[in-house]
Amino acid sequence: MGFTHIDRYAGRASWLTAHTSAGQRIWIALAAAFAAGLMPAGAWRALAALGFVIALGVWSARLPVSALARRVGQALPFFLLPALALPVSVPGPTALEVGPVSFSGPGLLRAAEIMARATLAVSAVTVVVSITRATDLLRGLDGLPLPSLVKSSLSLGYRYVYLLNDELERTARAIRSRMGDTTRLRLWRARASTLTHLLLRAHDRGERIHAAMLSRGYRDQLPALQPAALVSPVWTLAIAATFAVIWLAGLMESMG
Amino acid sequence: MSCLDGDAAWGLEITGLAYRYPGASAPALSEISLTVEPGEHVAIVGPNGAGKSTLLLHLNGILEPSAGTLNVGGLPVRRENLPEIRTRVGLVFQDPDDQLFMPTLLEDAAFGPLCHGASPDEAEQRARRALESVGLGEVDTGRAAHHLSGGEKRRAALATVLSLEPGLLALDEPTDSLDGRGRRQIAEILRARRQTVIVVTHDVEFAAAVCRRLLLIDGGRLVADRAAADILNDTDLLLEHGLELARWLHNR
Amino acid sequence: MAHIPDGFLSAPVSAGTFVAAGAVTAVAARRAKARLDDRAAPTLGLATAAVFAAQAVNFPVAAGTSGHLLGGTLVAVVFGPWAGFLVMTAVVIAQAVIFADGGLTALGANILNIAGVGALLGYAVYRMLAGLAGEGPRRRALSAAVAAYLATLLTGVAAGLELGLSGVAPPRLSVGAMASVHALIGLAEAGITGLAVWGLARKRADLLFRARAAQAAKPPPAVVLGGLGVIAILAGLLAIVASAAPDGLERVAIDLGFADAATSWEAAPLAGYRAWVPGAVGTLLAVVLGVALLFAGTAATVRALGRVPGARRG
Repeated sequence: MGFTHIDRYAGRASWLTAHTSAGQRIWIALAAAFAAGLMPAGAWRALAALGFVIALGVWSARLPVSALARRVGQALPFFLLPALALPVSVPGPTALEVGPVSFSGPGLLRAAEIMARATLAVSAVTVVVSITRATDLLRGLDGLPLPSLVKSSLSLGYRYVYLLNDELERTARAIRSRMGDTTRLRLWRARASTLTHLLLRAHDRGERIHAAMLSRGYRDQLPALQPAALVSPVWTLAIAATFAVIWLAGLMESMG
Repeated sequence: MSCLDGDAAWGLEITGLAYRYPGASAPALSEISLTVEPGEHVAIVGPNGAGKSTLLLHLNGILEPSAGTLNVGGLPVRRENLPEIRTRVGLVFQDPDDQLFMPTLLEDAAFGPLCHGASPDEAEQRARRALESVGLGEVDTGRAAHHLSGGEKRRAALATVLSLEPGLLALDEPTDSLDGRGRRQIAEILRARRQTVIVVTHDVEFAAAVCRRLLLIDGGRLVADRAAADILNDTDLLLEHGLELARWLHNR
Repeated sequence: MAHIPDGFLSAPVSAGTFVAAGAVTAVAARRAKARLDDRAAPTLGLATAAVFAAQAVNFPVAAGTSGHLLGGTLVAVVFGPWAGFLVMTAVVIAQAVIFADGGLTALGANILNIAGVGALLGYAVYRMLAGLAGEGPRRRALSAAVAAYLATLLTGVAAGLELGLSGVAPPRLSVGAMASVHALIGLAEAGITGLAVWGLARKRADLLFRARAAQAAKPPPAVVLGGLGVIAILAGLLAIVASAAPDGLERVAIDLGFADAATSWEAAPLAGYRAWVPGAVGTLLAVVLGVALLFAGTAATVRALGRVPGARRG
């Protein structure tokens, strides 16, 4: 299903792939997401500056806008909430009248800000993820303060999702071929049955993998993934600093 | 394909091995006793459910016997010796996907050495040597295993074990779902090994091609222990234990 | 639907949820390790892969729409609460990073909502219900289904609270809207979870997670159960209060600096505000939920008290 796009754009060379390692790119994505996500209200100029930098990234990675649009679109249901609530509740001069309800200007701006912040954050993360191979991303996660069990879950989860998905589709096909036209309830039971098989398979395979790990000397922690080629952190720091400075400017703009 | 020059070859000694799965009514293995000389290539054949795979799992302590003992190169297979045993015994399981669990091939091959305390550099070197020795030196080792073909996966799984340079290689059904070419590649790799090799397989002809000595196991017991050519010609013995040669399909 | 994107949560809410999520994750890692030992990595890894694969399965609802599994309660029922929490944490992280489903500033909140409420709270409810309902595949499945429903509903409430406290919308509206949506999503989740557990309980009931009897080194289950019970009681009260006196909650939020004073809705046209239907439905749901939580929380606490070491077993 949705896994096929994971490595789709990852082969592309770009300025970012040349000057940053996968781990560093993760930090860049975090810096961008936080700068965008936590930009204070009213900091329009800072948001614009942020947008410019992130747009540079999108252009450098040669990402098709459709890829961005799809991901931003996921947040659409959430956008409804501020879009409908804020213009009604935030006090200020009326900008729009729809029937009996009046939307205030400041309220509309606030809602628009939320959407802008979300869009910028999504774009930044998408850029980083699209130009990085999944296996490199996993290696880059090593630098983050996550418990080792979470990291190994991500690593093994990525490795075996395709396999389990294939087995799932095979089971589903087998079950579907035995059913004719059928009620929704039977369909649910059939699909749930594939989930049961999935869980059983996951359990069995987990046991076998455990045996294989033990056979090669595993104690209790997946060994440290080998450090990738060292890339100078200069550019990463510069980019992260840029985001930080823009955010601080936004902070001042919102207060001033 | 270059050969990985592992010098050490460990012998295997099993005495009175018995094993019963928890909750099972009948034992999976009874009274298994055999000796394998260092450097020997031995195949274990038998019908499905005979206990062949169960036997393999005892070699590196995954299963503990209900009775009897095992020695690898003189070292008893006991809990306190397991770390050392697991450098001596390289167990290759039936499903290569169970052994290729790291995000990249290189990390899979390096897993063994890393777990045993090798430095990342040393582990990487051993990993690359092992992958080359099975003919995967040119493959992009930075990718995950699900991109490989069936035969490549089997060879990759073998490499993950070879990187530890074990003196005893044990493989469970190494030709499962392989085509002719894949089967030949595995056969050639195994024949060239200087280590002790134990192959569990239901493919009697493959066994005879790769190993000089065949052990026939049925119902958890060691039924025959003879030269491969001998067993292949003993039609009655084969039939009695549910083994058929492909060429017989013509006759019936 | 449950994943809050970037740009919605205010800095204090983001920071607070991160700290809370971090603390729970640390505890979960220790507990899961203690329970699973060297099996932890492969078991959790495959469970994570299974959740990814399972979330892609289509369960048609009506005229083109379809439901999908969230998975928190199911994973907890099969693998245990702490393992389930870790698995869902990995899932949430992967969804945020790879699929841009959920923001990075909202990661803490999403982890709390989906892994914390979904797996931990879902498991707690399941245990209580299973304890009351008894053994047997159908009873287990029913307990799991109800637990999944409540957990999903509460996930929505939690998200709504976080959004409300961040000033995205009046809390009553955000909780009401999120709760309403999740009240519907919860139906699919309950159905899928129940059916999956039923199948598993019939085939391999031994694979379902069974809590161990208290061991000397670990804190007695009484404490855990009691703690959850108290949290549930507090949450229940909060839900009822929030629905009854939404202005009060907003006032608290403004005073604490969570929400910008500029979004004070006292000056808002009251007519438009009160007319929100989602708000009314949300209020009703919040009250129902609050009562349910009070009941469950009380039951849990009472049971916990009965399990205090030294107390007689009934």
